Amino acid sequence: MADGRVDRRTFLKHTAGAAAGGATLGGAASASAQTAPQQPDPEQLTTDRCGADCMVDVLKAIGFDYICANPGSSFRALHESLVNYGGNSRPELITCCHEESSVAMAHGFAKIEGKPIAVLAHGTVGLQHAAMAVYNASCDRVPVYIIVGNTLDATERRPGVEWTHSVQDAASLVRDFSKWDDTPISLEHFAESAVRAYALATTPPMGPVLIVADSELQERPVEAAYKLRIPKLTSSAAPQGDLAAVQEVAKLLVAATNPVIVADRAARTPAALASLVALAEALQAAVIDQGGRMNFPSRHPLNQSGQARATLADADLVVGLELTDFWGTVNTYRDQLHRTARSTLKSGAKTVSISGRDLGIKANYQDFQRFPELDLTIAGDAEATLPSLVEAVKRLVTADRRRVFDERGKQLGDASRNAYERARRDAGYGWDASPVTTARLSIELWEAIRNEDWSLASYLNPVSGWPMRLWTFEKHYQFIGGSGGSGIGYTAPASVGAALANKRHGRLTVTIQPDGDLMYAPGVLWTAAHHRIPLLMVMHNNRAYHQELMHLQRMANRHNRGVERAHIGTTITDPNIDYAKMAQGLGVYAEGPIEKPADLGPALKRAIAVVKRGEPALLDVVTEPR
Amino acid sequence: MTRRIAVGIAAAALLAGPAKAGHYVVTAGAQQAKPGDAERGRETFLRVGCYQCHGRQAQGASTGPRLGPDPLPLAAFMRAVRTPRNEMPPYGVRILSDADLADVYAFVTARPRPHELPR
Repeated sequence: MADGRVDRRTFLKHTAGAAAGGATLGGAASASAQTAPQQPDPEQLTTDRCGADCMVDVLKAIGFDYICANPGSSFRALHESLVNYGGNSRPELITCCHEESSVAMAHGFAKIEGKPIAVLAHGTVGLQHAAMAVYNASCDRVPVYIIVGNTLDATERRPGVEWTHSVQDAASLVRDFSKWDDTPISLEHFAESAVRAYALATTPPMGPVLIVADSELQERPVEAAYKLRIPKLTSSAAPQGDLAAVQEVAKLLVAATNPVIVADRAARTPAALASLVALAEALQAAVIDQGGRMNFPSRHPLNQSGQARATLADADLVVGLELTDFWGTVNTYRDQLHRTARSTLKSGAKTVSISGRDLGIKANYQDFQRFPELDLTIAGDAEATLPSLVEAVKRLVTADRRRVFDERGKQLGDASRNAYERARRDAGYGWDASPVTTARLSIELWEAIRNEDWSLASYLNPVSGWPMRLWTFEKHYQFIGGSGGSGIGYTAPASVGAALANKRHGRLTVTIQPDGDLMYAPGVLWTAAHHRIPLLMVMHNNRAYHQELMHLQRMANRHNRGVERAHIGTTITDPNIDYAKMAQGLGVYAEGPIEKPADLGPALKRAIAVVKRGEPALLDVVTEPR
Repeated sequence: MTRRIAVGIAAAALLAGPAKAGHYVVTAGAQQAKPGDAERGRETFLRVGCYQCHGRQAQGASTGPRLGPDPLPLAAFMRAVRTPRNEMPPYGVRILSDADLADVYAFVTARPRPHELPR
């Protein structure tokens, strides 16, 4: 205050506890100070306690294990408090090289562990980097907890970059695709909203939440005796479907000739997986797992996912559990010059939905898909509703129906076994070809991990779903679905996040890593190396953004121009990227490019040995497109 | 490997021209064609992008079914390429001639049998 200017932080040291409430008091006091005689105390330059320490108390009380961050000055005090005051433990700071990686790591972690971790980001540039990953988490109904730094008070901003990194309404950037946000203006407000945010994020339908941590609130001195009251965190029971409606569904299921249960994001926990098995077995009904979560054991005799279309065509009742796209499940859509669609269900087939999706629907982003005309809809969380549905079904099954069900179950078992044998036969085509077929890659990987306690963190569409056709998936952590929003760049960081969650359980995390996806933010490899996160990454390196290449082909053929130039803008060649060298440069054990199929098995053994030592490893395998 | 397979397009009866813009029909005895050449077919298979959905060995993927070594009957194969009823991008004669298509058929027919996976 040598120049006579009022330093609000210094002034507020005298009222630190109450000053946590801040703005009004600070403003009035400032006016008073400006007219007071200029006889200040010696300038206070340090403090033993700041608002950020209280924020750390809140984060610890909530119970975060980790907090992912790329450093940013708008949360410098909170960062410092985490590592010093908080001891860098629960939460431990995970250094990320991109905010998209931070959020996607949290996304993958939550699906394995069933609880969120936190993310720290600048409210402006950091959140802009993070936005796509927030969208993925939103579409995937996954709780991600984001804290963004911001400096709302214009008179407290440092000249220059702090202005470009400040914003009036930080959360507005992601408000369309996050569940809730708040901008607290006092520490008490922060504590209350932080706890509320966690409770909302973890109540189905789950989703990302955002809390703004104002930089002044973080940095303001707080008296040593000040004790912030942190509200008790109470987890809400998930919304269950109406019991009368559930009983109606049970009647339909028991009476149906060919009921089909379709599950997408239905099972978040082992209990839900067990409930779905119990429901299917009570009915001896077909189950189609659409892969949003690990819903149903892949080799269960009632699993008909490999022949979904034929199974649905024969259905007289379809019960959808947390389907992303019910309309797309029961219709085919033909992407030709003139787009056409038709129902795949036979006449008179009934449709039922149990889903919490509509409870969290928003207008702008269109992830809610086309409106399905259904016979019965239950607005309730499928996982929470399944136990009552299982009980209702069991009460209705008579001995006569049991005999019918058993016969149906035998037929479904035969169909399932035949599908598995077909998959094994089909996987043998192109066995010795180079590039390596995705089937060969999947089988070599399966042979390498099948006797481990493994967890697959990647989605399966890019490799034609081979693992789900050929591997034995039984446990809830063995598969976690995909990105949700199909925003590329998810797989690598989400896999690292999943591996971070699996680490404490001693599981071997593996991921089949697409090349284009890795190039969005490859710095996450360094994060895995730095934090000793054991993860086996086997690359599906088809040297292209292949989905887009196929779109270009579709357009070129449609316009009678041929595909000779479809590679422009869609392939990743000339030069071919040396992913092994890239990974090695980021501190990760790596081998490749592996082009001969016979080289893959031995390389997998070497890489798994590295992962078992607690480190990440990458194998760059040059593969077929799909 | 160069392998010639008499694909008999004449018998399969492909009409090599559009009935109207963007539409092709198959009629009997429309055209006499040379036997397909599997090696040329392999090159065509890659050049016109068949491999993008079906794989370089025509082994199939989630994006397109396996095509060989026991393909559809030729007439059905031709129809599927020219006037697909499903999602497949249509291949008109301007981007894939009948002769090229015959070569592709020879290529997919020449694919080896699958490796038998150990139990």
